[in-house]
Amino acid sequence: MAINTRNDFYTNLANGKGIYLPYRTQNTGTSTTAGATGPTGSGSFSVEMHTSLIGTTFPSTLQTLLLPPGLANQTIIGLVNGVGGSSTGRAWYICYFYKVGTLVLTSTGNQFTHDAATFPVTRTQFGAATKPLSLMPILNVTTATTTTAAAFILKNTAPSAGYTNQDGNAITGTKTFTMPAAATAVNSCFVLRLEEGDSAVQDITQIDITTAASAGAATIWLVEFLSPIGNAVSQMSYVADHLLGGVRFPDLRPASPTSGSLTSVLGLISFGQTAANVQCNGLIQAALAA
Amino acid sequence: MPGTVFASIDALLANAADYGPWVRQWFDRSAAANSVPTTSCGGIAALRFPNPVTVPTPTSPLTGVAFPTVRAMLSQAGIVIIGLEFKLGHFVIGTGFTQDVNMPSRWVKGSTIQTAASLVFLVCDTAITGASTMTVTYTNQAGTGSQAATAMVLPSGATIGSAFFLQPNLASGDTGVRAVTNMSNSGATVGTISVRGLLPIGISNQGSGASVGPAPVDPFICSMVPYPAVGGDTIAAYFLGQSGSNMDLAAMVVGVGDI
Repeated sequence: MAINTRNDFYTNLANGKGIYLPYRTQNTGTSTTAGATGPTGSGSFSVEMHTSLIGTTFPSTLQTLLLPPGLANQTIIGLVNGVGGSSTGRAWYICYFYKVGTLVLTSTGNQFTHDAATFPVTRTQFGAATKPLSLMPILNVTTATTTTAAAFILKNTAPSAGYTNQDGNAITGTKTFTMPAAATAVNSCFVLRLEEGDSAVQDITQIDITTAASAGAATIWLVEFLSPIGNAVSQMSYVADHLLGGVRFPDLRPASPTSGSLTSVLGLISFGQTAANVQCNGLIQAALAA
Repeated sequence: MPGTVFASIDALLANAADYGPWVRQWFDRSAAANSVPTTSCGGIAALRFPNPVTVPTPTSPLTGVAFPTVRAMLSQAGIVIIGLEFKLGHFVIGTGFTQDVNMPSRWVKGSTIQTAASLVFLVCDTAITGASTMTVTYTNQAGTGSQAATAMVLPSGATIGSAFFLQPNLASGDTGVRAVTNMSNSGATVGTISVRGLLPIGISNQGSGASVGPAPVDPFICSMVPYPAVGGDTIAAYFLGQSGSNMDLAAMVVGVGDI
């Protein structure tokens, strides 16, 4: 049945029109902490990607959390709980990672290759069926860098636009992002620098490497937050009940690309700390909306 | 009518005071380390604790039991799900398939609901010799029969108590199982595997190496379906997240009689 009340939500769950998604995720290795703040740094947030413990081989194969296949109807997440394995608190979110492309760090100039999927990715929002999502851009190091701390700007060398911002405008970046170390470890993640006044992106179109490393490569992902799971540490579990408070009603299905085949990974993202083999476990409960 | 006990805190208090609550604590320990699945058979390590609890038959005028409080604590990090368990079918390798019970109809929030299990597992009732490729034919959440789950390729030598989450392998568009109508095996030579549907009444989730701090999740404080039980129902505990042997569980349910 269509969900018009909380009782309808419970009815759909009881009827078996629901999703229970137990998860156990982890990262791997010890990534490099974000470095300097200031105009040419790598930001203040250390970021880590956490994908399914089973099936993931970092950095090449990021296993998405398993949903039942072929979900035709919107889902509504009701309950999320999680607890992190880190002894130090960090902010955690259930999220979707959407792969936008890959970046070579060993040559200067335009070194970004966009994936085949056409962005923006969209969802039904406020009655509009294909409304673009504004997402957080992150860089995930897939080959460690050596010798020199690579640096880049979100622009084409022409110069022309390097990203589409939250308003759908093509932006030529001017801010330099510099890796925190000449040797930046595999699986390190950082939030990309945007221009003044920009807070999110709908697409990345080109990246200009201004200082090349001797080795290094990365994948660029756009991140959609679905639900917080608090500042989970190993001793404290967190529950987000989207029906009783903190209403957000996220959909467990991935967003849709404008066209083409989109690589999406349902997992967790954490901010604030780096550590090896941090595992997080929990359960997501959702109901079909029809 | 059944289900009214959750209408208000006062209703819970009144029933508990008038008829007496049923409080059941239990301790259980897993045996052999549960086998680790791949993404083709559930994608998360799981086990079924071996000693479930049976719901007693309440005395008239009570017709059922509702659970406002469920608590569980585990000796390892992971997720514990306490639920009403229904053995839907089982396969004895070398003998064949037997259909057991179907998911029941229950009063939920004042209406009769034909339940279907979204939390549904293949469970090794005995140790398995060899690597079993299991197929499951079932009736889905809409009542459509002869649905075929994608074959579950279990790890070789799956141990007793190992559980494999079936929902990701259901047919495209399906999210629940009302009944199991057939199972088949290829590859394994000895063992018994069952399909079990779980209606969750409580969840506990705890962190790394800890036995403190699990946050309880039960119908009275969170958005969970308040499934009522009837006499003879099985309350089982499942652990998800890791493989380990000799895992200890301490659990408690508080039941309030429902009219």
